[in-house]
Amino acid sequence: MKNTKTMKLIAFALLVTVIAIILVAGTYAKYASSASGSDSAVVAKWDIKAGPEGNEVSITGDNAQVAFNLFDTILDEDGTAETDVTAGKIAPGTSGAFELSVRNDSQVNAEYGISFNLGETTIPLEFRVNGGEWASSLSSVSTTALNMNASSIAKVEWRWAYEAADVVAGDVVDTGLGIATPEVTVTATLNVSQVD
Amino acid sequence: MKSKNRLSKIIAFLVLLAVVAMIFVANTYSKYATNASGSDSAVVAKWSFTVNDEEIAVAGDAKTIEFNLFDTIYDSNGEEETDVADGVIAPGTSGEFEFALKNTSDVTAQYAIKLDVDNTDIPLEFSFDGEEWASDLTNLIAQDNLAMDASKNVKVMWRWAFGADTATDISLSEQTVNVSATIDVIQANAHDELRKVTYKLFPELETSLRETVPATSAIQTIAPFYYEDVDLFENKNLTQISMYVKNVNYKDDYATMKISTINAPESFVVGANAPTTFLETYTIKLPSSYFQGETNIGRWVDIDLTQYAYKSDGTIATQGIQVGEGETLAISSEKNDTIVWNVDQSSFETQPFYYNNAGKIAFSADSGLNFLFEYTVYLENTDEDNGNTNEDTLLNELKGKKLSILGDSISTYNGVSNNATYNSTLSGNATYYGAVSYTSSVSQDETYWQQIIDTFDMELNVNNSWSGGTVTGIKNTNKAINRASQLHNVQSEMPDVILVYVGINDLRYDQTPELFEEGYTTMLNTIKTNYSNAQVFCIGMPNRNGNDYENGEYTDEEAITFNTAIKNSIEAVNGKFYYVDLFNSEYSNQVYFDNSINTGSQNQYTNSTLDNLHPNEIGMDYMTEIIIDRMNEVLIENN
Repeated sequence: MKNTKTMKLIAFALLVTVIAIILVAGTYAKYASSASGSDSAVVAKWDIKAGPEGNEVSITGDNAQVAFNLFDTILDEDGTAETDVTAGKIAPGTSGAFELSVRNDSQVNAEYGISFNLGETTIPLEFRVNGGEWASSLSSVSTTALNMNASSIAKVEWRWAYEAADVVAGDVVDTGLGIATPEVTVTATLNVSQVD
Repeated sequence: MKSKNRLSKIIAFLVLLAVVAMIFVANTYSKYATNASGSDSAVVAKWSFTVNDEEIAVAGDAKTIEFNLFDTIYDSNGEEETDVADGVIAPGTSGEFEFALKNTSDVTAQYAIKLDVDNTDIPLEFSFDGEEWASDLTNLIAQDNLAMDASKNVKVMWRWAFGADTATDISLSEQTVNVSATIDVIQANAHDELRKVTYKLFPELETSLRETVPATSAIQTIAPFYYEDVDLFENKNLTQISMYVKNVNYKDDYATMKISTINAPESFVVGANAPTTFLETYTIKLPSSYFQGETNIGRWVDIDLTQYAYKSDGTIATQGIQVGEGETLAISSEKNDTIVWNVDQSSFETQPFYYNNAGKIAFSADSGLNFLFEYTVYLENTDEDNGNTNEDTLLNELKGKKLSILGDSISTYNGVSNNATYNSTLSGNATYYGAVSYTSSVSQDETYWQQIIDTFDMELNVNNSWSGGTVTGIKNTNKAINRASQLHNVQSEMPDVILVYVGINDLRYDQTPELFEEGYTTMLNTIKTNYSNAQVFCIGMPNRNGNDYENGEYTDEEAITFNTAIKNSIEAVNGKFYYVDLFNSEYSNQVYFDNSINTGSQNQYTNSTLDNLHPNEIGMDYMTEIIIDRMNEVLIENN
């Protein structure tokens, strides 16, 4: 029991000594320095914008929607204004294009690719992407680098020939479509990912 | 104790699992990824057209419509017929039927109504307007465009003149006549506002060559037209053919020959026959009155195909011979064809479409054939009267305008580019073409710049070209930077159009692209300052296809770098400057410095140059074609 009391005293004395040392430390030291360090980090921003050039909007997460106004402006096949077709409708001899701008406002480098889905259609549209070969299907935009602060444009063009290579057969098909007036939907899916 | 142990084990296992999972899927967790999608839809425009309220735009076979032309029979004066029994026709009767046409489509439609009569013995006449009457129905067509939702009534009128030929009329008693009408309706293309540009394939045939009679065996070993030349024909309407006609024979009062359109083969095989799948065959039919009944002609003849060429369905090719994309022409001669032009036509009798033994179509200037084309170019409507103004051609837009050239040896001509009567600074200019020291066969009329002047009916203002001249002055002090302010003539008349073709010597002398671009920009700024109203065509460096004048002069890559510099300068100066792409043109790559048709018979150089650098008359033709195409493009854009 006495032992315990002694221990308590010693502990108390030690405590007082330590406190005293702490409180008056500066006084004891001739040379004294102190240093401290801290660090913090902010996570790099991920900000991808897409849409018509000049009107790109942020797309975040999965399944965001982006404007893809492929049929907004329908022109004559020679690129001039279409005056012979009701506005908003496509017909043989019409054409159009859309430029999808993708901008990387992130703090990391990225890459993007675009795939297209034409759906089921019998309309003899032809497409080309970024000035490639005209084809009846839409070829994907292969993975393309998109560095920080950079932007890239994917140009999708379509046309419906006024006269098909086989004029007679083509006219039959076109006429059938004009009577049935089907709808065609083109979907573009943009995938953007950070690159290491 | 036991249960405490089990709990510890479970916790340890879960911790382990979590760590493993994190390791394996770390990438997924650590990468940014976004996807987005967008879609757009369009509906096909409706196709619908009614005739007398009946829809004729139906799938399958053609719709049969009512055509009661003889339902009501009148007297020839249009009043009720009281002198002829009901329901029969006779001399002095007439009638009509009206079609009510309505375009209920989402597109503009074009209709064409044609008639057919099965008994031409009965002298009926027909008309759509009551003014123009015809008994030969070949050319009687009612045709027009109908805008969306527009309608129009079209009358079909007939009459049988009274008392014209009593004997014949009597012999027709109780005969039957059946008249049918066909209404073809097609979607109209928006190209009714077209302007036409005429283009002569061999302008020289209009002048000097016509003074000589072409050789009768002149099927050329090097014909100008083969598959690379598709551009010369495709997408054009051939409106005139000029030919040296030796003699003609008449069959059924007509002299004939045939021209067909074919799909241009991907390659021609030496000695092989031409393709015999004809897309359309046109028959040129000249009535004997065309030659006043002569059979020995022996002179050049210009035949208007819009008047004398017939399509296979028997109708006149009013648009000329239409050559589509990827198509070319083949000339035919059958034994029955009776226009004999100045080539060895005996071969035609064994094969209908003749290619020479080099596998090329035997059309050439020397073979006595020339063609006049009309480009059909489409322009946006600028005002209501803009449509169909054929006289208002692009050619006329440059007619009488002044053209100056700033060039090097390729653009020189002795007596022109060193002639101070054009500009007082010119007299010392070294020349290449037309100079005594060179055995150049190229005449002034064959130079690219003179051909352009002639094509557009312009006038030469100043040709400031200097053999060896550069843009920057490297290895040659006659730099174009200085000469760029001397493109007006001694009367201080300013150029309206300027052709700039200089830089190839800078390239040969290894000027750096940076200094070249700097110099080119200075040159264009000088032009802009001095000739602010001029349209300036800057001709890029050609692809020499590995055929350097001296080996290693420059590579294709270096030429591309210089062309980029020219385009940069054009953009920087921002004026009426237009780049002419010599390098990437089909002609430049394949023909301008063509080594594939080098026969080796005349010299060691390529077939289209004098020395693998300076174009000969063939190369000049290709240059001309490329530059004119570009000038037309610019004219169209500026309209």
